[in-house]
Amino acid sequence: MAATNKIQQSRRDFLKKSAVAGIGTSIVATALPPAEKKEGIKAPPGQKGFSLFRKEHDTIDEVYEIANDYERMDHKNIIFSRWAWDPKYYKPGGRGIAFILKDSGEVPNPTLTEPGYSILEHALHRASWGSHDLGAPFSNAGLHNQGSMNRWEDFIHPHKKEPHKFKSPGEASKIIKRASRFLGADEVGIAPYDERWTFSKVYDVTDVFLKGKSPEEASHEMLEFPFEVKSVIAFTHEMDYDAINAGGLGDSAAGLEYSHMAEVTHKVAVFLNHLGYKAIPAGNDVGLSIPIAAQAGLGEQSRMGTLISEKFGSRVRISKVYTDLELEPDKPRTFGVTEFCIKCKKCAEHCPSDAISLEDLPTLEPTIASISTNRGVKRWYHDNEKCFSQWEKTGTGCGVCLAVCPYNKLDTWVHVLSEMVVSAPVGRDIARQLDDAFGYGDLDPKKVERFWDMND
Amino acid sequence: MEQLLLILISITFCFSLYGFVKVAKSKKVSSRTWVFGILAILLIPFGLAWCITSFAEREPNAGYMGIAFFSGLGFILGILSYQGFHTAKQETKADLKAPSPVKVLVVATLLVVGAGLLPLALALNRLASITSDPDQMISLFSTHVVSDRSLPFTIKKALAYETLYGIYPGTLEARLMQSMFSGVKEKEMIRLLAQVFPGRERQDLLHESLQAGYSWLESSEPYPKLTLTPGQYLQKVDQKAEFIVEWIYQNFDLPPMDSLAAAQFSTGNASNEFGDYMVTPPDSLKTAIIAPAANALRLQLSKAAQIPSTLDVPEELQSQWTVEKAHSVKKTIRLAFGLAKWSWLLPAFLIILGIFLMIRFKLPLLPWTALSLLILGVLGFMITHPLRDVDGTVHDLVTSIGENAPAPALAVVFQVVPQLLISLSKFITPFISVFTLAGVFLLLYAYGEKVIDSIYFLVNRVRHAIFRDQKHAS
Repeated sequence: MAATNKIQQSRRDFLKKSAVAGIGTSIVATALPPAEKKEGIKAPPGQKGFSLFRKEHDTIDEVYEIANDYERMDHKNIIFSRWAWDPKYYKPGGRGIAFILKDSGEVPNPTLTEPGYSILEHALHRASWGSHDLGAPFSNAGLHNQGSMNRWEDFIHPHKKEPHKFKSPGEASKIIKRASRFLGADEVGIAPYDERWTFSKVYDVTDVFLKGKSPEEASHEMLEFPFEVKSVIAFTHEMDYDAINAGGLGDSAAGLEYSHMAEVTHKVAVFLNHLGYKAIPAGNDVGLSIPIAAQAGLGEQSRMGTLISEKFGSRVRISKVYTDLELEPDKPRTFGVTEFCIKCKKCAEHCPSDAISLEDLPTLEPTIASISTNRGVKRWYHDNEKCFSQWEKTGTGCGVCLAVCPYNKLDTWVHVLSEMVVSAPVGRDIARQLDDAFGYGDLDPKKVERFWDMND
Repeated sequence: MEQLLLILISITFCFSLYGFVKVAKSKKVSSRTWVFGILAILLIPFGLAWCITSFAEREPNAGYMGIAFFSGLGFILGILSYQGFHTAKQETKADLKAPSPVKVLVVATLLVVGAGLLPLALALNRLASITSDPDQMISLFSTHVVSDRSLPFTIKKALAYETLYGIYPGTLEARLMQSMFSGVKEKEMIRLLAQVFPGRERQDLLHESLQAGYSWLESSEPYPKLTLTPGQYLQKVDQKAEFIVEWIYQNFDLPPMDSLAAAQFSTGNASNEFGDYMVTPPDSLKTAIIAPAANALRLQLSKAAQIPSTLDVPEELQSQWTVEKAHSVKKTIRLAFGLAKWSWLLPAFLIILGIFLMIRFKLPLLPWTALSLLILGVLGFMITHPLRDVDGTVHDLVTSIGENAPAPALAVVFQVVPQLLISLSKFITPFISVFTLAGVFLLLYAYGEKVIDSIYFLVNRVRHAIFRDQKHAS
C-alpha cells in the first residue's frame, strides 16, 4: 500500500512539475521574439518538410557556375524543333520523322511484339497525352501560344481593371502557392525572372507540319513578352511510380503529367487574371524549365540533366507561369545531388543509347553534345541526338534514366532513412551499391504485366 | 493493411524486448549477449517492416533483400545471443547435453548448399547432353529457326531486337525501310525467301555448318573445315531483282512519287539510285518502273557488296585466331561440356559429407534425412522456377544479353531456348518430386505417431464438444 502511495505521489509531482514547466515555457516563448528561421531545415509549404542536409543559396549563380559568354538557347536548335528542318529527321517531300510515323502507326513498329511496347501501351500513351495535345499542343516541343489552354491572348487581359493589392510580396507568394497546390500542382516555387533561361528565338514547327511551308519559310522570330515579367511561378508534377518503372510505359507517365501541366498552368493563369494580373502559362515552351525550377528552390540538376526534386526525386515534370505580379522568390536549394551524382552514374550506365556523360565531374566544356545542347553552364552534358535515337527506335519516349535513378523512390519512412545515409558523405559511396543490391531501378519487363494487373 | 502489419510488428517488438530484458536479467547474461540480443530484436522486425513497406511500394526484390539483409543479420546476432544464454544455462545445468549449434549449423549448411546445387547440376548435365549432340541440335534449329514456318518469326524478332538494342541506321530512309520490312506479312516473307533463299538450301547450310562445328570439336584440327558460298546468294538476288522490286512495291507502304520525279522518269531520265525508286509510282508508270528499279538495285549491290563468291572459314579464322588460340577455344568448350556433365559430383559430395557428419555428431538420423530431402525438394522447386516460367526466363535472358549480342543471335535464342528449357523441366521435375515425396514420407514415418496422436486428440475434443451440446439440447 505504501509503495502504491509513493507511486501516486511521484505521479502527482511529475504532473505538477510538467504543468509548471509547460506554462513557464509558454510564457517565455510568448515573451521572446520569434526565433530566426534556421536555414537548411524548414521548407516552403508544399515541399518536403524535413531534411538534414539541405542548404539554401542566395542566387542560382552560387549553385551553378555559368559562363560569362553564356548565350540564350535558340528554340530552333532543340531536338523537337529539328524534326521540322534537320535532314537527319525530316525529309521534305517524302516521309520523315520516324518517331512520329511509328507513334501514329503510319509505318510498322518492330517493337510492337515486345512487352511494354505493345498496342496497349501505345494506346495508353496517346490517351495520357490527350489534354496536352488538345489544350497546349507542341508545348512539349517548346512552342508557345498554341491550343485552347495555352493561347497568350486569353491571359494578357486581366478580368479586373484594378489589380488586387496584397499586403506584401510574401503574402502574395503564400496565396499563389496555396492556390496552385489546390489547382493541382504537386510542388510550387517562385523564381525571379531571369532572362538567361528564356529562348532567344522561336521556330514555328507548325508552319512546316500543319501549314505546308518549307523549313526555310517557317517563322523564326525573337521571343517577346507582351508585358513586363516580374516573377515566374514554377511547378513540379509527380509522375506515376509504377508506370515510370515499367519499361515502355514511361511515356504514359510523362504524357499524363504533360496533360496536368497544361491544365494546372492554365488554371493558375486564370486565377492570376481574376486577381487583375497578367500571366503566361508554359510547359516546355517560352524558356528552359530546369534552371527556373532550380532557381525556385524546387530541386537540383542531376547527371542526366533533369531536375531532382527533394520530395519526388527524378520522377517529376516541370511547368511554369510567367506573371507581372511581384512575388517573394524562393531561394535555390541544394541537398547533395551533385555530390551523389559524381559517385553514382547509374543513369549513364543504363542509358540504352549512351547519351549521358560518364565523366566524373561537371564541366563547362562538354565532350558529348550536339547543337541541341544548352552550353555555358557547369554541369554534366548529354547528347540529345543519341537520346532521341532511342525514342525513334521504339516510337515512344524513353525515361530509362528517370526510372533507374536512385532518387526515384516513394516518399516512405524506408527512404527517409535511406536518404539520411545517402546524404552523408560516407553513405554516398555505398548507396549506389545498396540501391542495386536491393533491386531498385530494375527494369524488369514483368513490371509491365504487374502494372496492368494492379487493382487500384 | 500495411499500417496494421507495422503496428503488429511494433507491438511484437515491444513484447520481445520486454521478454528479453526480463529473461536476460534473471539469467544474468554477459554484456555481449545483451548487445547481440537487443540488436537482434531490433533488426529482425526492422527487416520485416522494410519488407512490408517495400511490398506496398511494389518493390518485392527490395522486400526480400530487407528480410535477408536486416532480419538475416538480426537472426545471426540472435543465434550468437542464444549461445550466450546457452552457455549461462550450461554453467548452471552442466549435465544437460544438446547438440552444439555450430555442429548443427555445419550439417545444415552442407545439406542446404548440396541440396541447392543438385538441381542446377542436373540441369547442366542435361543441357550438356543435348547441346553436345549434333543430331539433336540440327533438328532443334531446323524446326524452330530455319523452317518456312519459323523463319519469318525469327526475322521479325531479329528486327525487333535490332531496333531495341542495335545501332540505329544513320539515314532516315534506312530507319524507315527497317520499320516497313518488319510489317510484312509472314506469307509474303516466305514468298520472297522461296525465291532468294529456298528452304532446301537453308536446311543444307544449317546441316553443313553445325556438322563442321561438331567435327572440329572432336578432331585435332585447329579450325573447322567449312566453305561457304555467299556469292551464290548475291547472284540469286541479282537474278531475281525484278521480282524483288515488284515484291517491295506490293508490300511496302511507300510515299507517293512526286510529280517532278514522275515527269523526269516519263521523259526517259531514269535514276540509277535505288533510293529514288522507294516511292509509290503513279498507275501509268507501275509496269515501266520495274526494269530501271531492278537495274538500280543491281548497281547498288555491285557497288555496296564486298561479299566474296566463296568464303573459306579456316582461312578467315586464321586471320583472327592463332592455332594456339583455336586449340585453347576448343579445349575450353570441351572442358565446359565435361564440367557440365560431371558437375553433379560436387553437390553429391556435399550431401554425403553432410550425412556422414550427421551420423558422426549423433544427430537423430531419420528426421534429419527427412529434412534434407524436403530441403532438396523445396529448394529444387524454387531454383528450377525459371524452367516453369519459360516465357519470362527467355525474356530475362534476352534483355540481359541484349546489347552484347547481335540481333539475329537474340532472335535464335528466343526461338531455341524455350525448347531447351521445356526439355530440362521435363527431365528435372520428376527428380525433385520424388525427393519431396520421400522427405514427406520419412518425416511422417519419424513423427507419424505424434501426428496421429495429435489428430486423435483433436478429433476427440471436437466429438466431445458436439456430444456435450447434443446432451444439453436433449
